[in-house]
Amino acid sequence: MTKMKWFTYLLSAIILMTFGLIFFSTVFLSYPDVLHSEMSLYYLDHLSLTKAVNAVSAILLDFRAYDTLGEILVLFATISGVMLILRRET
Amino acid sequence: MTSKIVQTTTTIILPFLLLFGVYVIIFGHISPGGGFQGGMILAGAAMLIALAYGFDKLPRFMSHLQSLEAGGVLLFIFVGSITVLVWLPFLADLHILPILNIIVGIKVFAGVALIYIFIARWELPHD
Repeated sequence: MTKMKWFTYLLSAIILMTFGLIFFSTVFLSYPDVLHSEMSLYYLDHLSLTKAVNAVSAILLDFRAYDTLGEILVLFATISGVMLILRRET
Repeated sequence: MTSKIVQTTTTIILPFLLLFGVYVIIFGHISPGGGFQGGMILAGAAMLIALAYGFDKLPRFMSHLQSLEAGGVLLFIFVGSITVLVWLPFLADLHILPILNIIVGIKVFAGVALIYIFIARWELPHD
């Protein structure tokens, strides 16, 4: 029984790692300069426009604030769905 | 359901957890972190309280959490449209980034705590 469990875990790990490698190599081979693209260099060079030191916060809430707005609306919709489905009949 | 060990640990660890969550939110534009991360830490604190002291007194707070959750969206849009008044695009740079961080933090805290409470209090319908 335990041998079967370990075999299942090992198989799952191998499958997951294979999928990860496939996706990573697909993106990385399609765009070889994805790590040094023009866009990321622009963000880092114009960081002083936002008066934020943290580059992640600057991108999330200033350069791409529309993205964060959409994300907030998605969270709102998720909670509305959870409250609709899991409500108590009292 | 509640245990003495969990309650004591919660009482000791809770001030530091809340302080760290608030720090991660309001220093989100300076140090690593931000609204989402700090909100998740605060929601973890809320889950700890619910685990330690039971779910009996929670329905009183759930309406407040729902107000925070729904009001966060409106407040985000409102703060974003302040920049329109000075003839800049929507959500443009007016150094509103820390305020938006705080709003997102409050919203994520309320939302994740609500999801946890709803899933934890759910029981199978009797038939």
